[in-house]
Amino acid sequence: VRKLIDVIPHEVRAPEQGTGPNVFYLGAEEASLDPLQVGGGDGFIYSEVPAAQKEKLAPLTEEAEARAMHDIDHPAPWGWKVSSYFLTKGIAAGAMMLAGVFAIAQVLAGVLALAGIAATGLFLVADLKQPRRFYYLFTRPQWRSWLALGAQVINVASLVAFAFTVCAVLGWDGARDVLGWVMVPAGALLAAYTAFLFNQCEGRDLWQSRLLLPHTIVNAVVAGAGAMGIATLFGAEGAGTLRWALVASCAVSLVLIAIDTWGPHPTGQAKRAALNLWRDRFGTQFFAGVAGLAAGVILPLVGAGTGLLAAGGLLALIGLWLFEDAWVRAGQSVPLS
Amino acid sequence: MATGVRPDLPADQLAVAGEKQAGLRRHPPAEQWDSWTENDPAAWPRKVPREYMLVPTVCFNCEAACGLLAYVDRETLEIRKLEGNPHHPGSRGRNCAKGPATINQITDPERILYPMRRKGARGGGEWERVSWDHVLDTFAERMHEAFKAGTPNDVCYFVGRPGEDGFADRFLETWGADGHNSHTNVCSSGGRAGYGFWCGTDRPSPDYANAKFVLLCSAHLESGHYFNPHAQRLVEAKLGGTKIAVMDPRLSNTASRADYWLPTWPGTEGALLLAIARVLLEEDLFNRDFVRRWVNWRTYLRHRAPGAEPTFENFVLELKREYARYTPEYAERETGVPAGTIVEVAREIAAAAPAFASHIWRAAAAGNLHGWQITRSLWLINVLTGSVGTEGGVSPNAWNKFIPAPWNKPSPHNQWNELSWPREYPLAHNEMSFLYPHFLHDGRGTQPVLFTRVLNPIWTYPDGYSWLRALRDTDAVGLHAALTPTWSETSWWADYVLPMGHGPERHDTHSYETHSGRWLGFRQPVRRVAMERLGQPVEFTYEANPGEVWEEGEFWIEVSWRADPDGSLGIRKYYESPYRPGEKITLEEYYRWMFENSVPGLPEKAEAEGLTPLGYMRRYGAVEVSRGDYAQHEAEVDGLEGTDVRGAEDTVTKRVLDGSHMPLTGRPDTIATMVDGVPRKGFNTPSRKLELYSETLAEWGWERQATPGYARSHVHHSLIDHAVGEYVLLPTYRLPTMIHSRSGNAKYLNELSHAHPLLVCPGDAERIGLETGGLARVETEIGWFVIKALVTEGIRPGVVAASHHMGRWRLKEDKGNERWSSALVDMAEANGGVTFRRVHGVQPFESDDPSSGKIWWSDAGVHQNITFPVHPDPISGMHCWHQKVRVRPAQPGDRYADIHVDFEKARGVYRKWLGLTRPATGALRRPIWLFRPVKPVLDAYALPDDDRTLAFRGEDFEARRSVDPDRLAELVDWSPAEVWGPLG
Repeated sequence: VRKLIDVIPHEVRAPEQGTGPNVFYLGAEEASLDPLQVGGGDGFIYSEVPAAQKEKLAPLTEEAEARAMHDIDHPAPWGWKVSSYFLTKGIAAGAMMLAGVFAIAQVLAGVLALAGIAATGLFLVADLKQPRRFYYLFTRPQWRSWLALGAQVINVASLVAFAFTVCAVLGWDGARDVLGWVMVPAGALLAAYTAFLFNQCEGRDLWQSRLLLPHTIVNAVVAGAGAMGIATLFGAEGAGTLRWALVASCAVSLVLIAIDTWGPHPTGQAKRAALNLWRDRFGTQFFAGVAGLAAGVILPLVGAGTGLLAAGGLLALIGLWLFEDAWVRAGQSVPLS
Repeated sequence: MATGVRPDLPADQLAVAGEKQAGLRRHPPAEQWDSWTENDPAAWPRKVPREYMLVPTVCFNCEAACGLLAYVDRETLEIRKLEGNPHHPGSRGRNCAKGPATINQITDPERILYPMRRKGARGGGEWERVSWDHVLDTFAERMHEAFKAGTPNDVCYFVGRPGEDGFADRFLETWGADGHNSHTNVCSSGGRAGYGFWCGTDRPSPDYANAKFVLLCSAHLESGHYFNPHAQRLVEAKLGGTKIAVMDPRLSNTASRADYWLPTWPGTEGALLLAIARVLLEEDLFNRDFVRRWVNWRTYLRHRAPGAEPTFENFVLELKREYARYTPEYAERETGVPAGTIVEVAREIAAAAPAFASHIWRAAAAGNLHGWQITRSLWLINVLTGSVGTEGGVSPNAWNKFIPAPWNKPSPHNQWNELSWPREYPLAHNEMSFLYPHFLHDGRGTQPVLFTRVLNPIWTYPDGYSWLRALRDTDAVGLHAALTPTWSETSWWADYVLPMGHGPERHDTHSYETHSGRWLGFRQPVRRVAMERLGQPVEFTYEANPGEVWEEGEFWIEVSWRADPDGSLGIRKYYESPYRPGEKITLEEYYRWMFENSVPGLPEKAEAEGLTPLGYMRRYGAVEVSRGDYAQHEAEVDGLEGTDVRGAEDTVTKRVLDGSHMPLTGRPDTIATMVDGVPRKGFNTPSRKLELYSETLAEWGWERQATPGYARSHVHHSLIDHAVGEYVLLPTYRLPTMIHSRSGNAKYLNELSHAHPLLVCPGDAERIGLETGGLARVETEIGWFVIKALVTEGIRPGVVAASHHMGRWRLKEDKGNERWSSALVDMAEANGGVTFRRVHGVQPFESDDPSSGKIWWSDAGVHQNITFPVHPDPISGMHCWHQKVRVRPAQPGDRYADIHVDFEKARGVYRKWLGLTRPATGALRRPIWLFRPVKPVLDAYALPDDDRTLAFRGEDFEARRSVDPDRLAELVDWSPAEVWGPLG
């Protein structure tokens, strides 16, 4: 094979990935190797167009060199459960970090963290293709996949949060303060591992951004500050801190979104996915999400009342979910073959 | 075998010697077939071993008859899956999608499991279960009446997919009936007649694997007649550097893999082929010696240049003169293919000769008026290049097909059935099956007993509404049994629906021309075989099949035995056992005798393995009889006593013509032709030469068509005016995942393919006003249908196309057809016409199979064939499938899959095309040498001097004969504006 490909022009799939190809194509049409050059979706030659293919192919049609004539359904494996898991985990992680750094509303933060982690667990298990096998995470632990590693991160975070909450409720301040400093890295890790998880999906170029790691942490702060900000309506303390935390995190998140969406993209697939995100497929949802985050910046700046903080927090949470859901779907919206 | 020939090896020898087989080429070794263990995939990831008995059989899902290997669970006796049989010489262990999908058909929850009798009126849809005994007695009684009354043709066996060789011929002969009718002329008459007039054998056998250049007239790589066996050999050749040219108005997968795509205007293919012939002649690239030795050029010269001295050089001059008009430029004007390409292909062919393979079977030959001349023109290229019977060339199929003689074959019958062989079509290749309902409507006869076997004419044939009306009429059709593995649009109108087995549920023998070699495949009911191996005796196959699904072989033995209860009709004796005198033969004994006595080499092969011949076939499912069967026409013939050398072609002819046993093809009295002074076997034509000039065609009224020629088809571009919405509809192309009308029960196949949009090229779509997904109304001469459009550059401008297969329907929600594939429709008859409207498409449904609840598609397509009028070619009898249509956007009120047909219009078109014929008016009904199934004795060929004959003779026959072939297209042309009103 080496001798052959030394002398004959050949192609490989996805050369931009830089992976060692196992298959070399001789004389292949470019469009048969590059799915971005294939459009259609309004009709196949001898079957109906499966729903997911219709959606994936349509945005490519205008610039396509070829049109798809047959395919099976490739529905996106990740949808609202993953987006919701993203948010609930963000709330938990954000609450842990805020409680640790600023020592505010500690019981509330602990309870939010535990509730968020519990909800995260439910969404995660529900999203498994075989939910009844979730106990494999405990009976067959392994360290290669961030899905499995993440589960252990969640376990650690939940232990820390549980201990912290117990100390806070029982008034064991010394232990609580020590645990408060553990809460920060535990919360950060809880937020950040998702960046590694998405990063591991190497075929999904939108998720390969170098800003993804800081962005997940910032978004966790948005989620934590938003949730705790709502709680101030009911007497939770720390409104002043939360107000600035919400404004700052939403602002940074918006800047990161702007860079990631409209900045340069290293691959065609990432560029196409970004177009799908803000224009061709999920534009309405994307801008609604951006508006929610913007409200998280603007409303707390309008005035110092808890009502404005809570409203800003709620809209930021909604906006964050809308954005993250669009981002999760957009990442999977480009055909890989 | 000569050096350089690529050996046609079975799968287990395909791997390089010594190399371990891997991946898809790996098959369980035969010595482990009795007990083969592998893990149950459904139990994954647990490793649950299952023990199987692997029993070979033969696929029944298309004509190719590939080998299958059934995995029968030794514990439950369930068939778990079907894979390829590596010992099958044709398919060599490989299959297409349709083979393994047999498992769906076996486990289909919609399956007919028991014999059913209708309650209430025909087509009312009420059925009751009856016993096989009742069915046998009912039909045996009616058959007995017919045979005893001396009207055996009252019983008709009307067959769609035969799926076997010889069994039906034998039982029809035991009845003394001319009772065979078959689907041939909606399929291959245009191929058969073309090959038949040339060489007496009506099918080609291209040696693809050894060809250096291949010219395909259609999509043989993906959907040919022997798709899987041929495709694998074409691919082998291509890997070895063979170039392929494909003539097809559609960019098929085959065309897209070809070196040359020649998108001819439909029906003009002959012009391109004759232009190639002209290049070969003009550039002196033809094989002079082969043509001199094997073509009937003396006869040609005698007719085309009567005064000329009979020399080969004069012949060449005359031939060049005849084909001079077919310049590449002329062909370009006719076909649209550039002249330069035509010349290039011609030179490639010449360079490859004699390893030049070509193939046409249906496609253009089946689509067009004069389509059989396209076949003749293609074969002319093989003849000119000497690529006949050569390595890499094309042989007559009879050299590569083996039909073993059965036990106690009866003498030929002495009947002539005018419902099958009407005198208007004396040259037809084969029965005029698609005119059958019109003959019944004409009052030409009635059919007291009708067996339709795997036949669905209401849906498959053109003009299905004429069929529906005929089959519904109890005066025209007395007692109708549909022998079928699955419900169909036609079985709905039968009196009895008799469930028959799929490939792994029945016995048959099969042999096809898949390559240069001969083999015999043995289909067997694998569960029965497994039960018997495990010591569980089975008397009738329905005891081993699901429900009471039976097999025809046993059915015909039983019903024939009962039809002659005391042996007085002389039928019963043919059903007595060769091993137990006086007792009824079993199907196993029938095949046992055949394998012991009629298959050369099989007893020896079996003995070498310590098996009986039947045991060998049960074990391996196939046997190779020979390979490398080239140049058989050159065989020298001895035993010339009692013969003379006669005629212009020095044909060695017996002095006495024995009319009591007519060969299926060829005259009974010619045995050889003298070639350079040596008597050689030659071909099955009257002269035993390759008949460039067919005296038969001339004598039967078609002198101008006696040589390969080109005349306008009924869809010639001169007759199509796009400005008023006229296009050519190409409705025949097939998908590699579908069987004509028997894949509706295979869920895997229907999930893969369930739509057939109308392909329209972008320019035409713009002119018509169509977009992909938009609805088009397609108007034919007798009706219209409404279909979705798909705009694509994969179809030639001016042509629209929708694949065959789709458009299945049923009239009741929960019965009558497969819910995997059919739409529920409402059928309304009014004013002599019928309208179908879709109530709903395919939907998920509840059944024992959880898949049925997960159906995600709804499209079932549109039943287009029912809107097609009959178009019988006056010579070959082929239904010419292509047609002029008017295409326009759907009209107000139109809905997807609407169909309308007008019965009187259908009758009118039938009569119009009947007017093109040149009926038999001489002493014979048909040339005695032409192929015909279940051939009678010579006496039956005598044309009676009855009123009809006298009427034909009284007509101005010369006026009919003198019509220019090119004019025929105008005589049957039609104007959509006149029939359906102007476009607007």
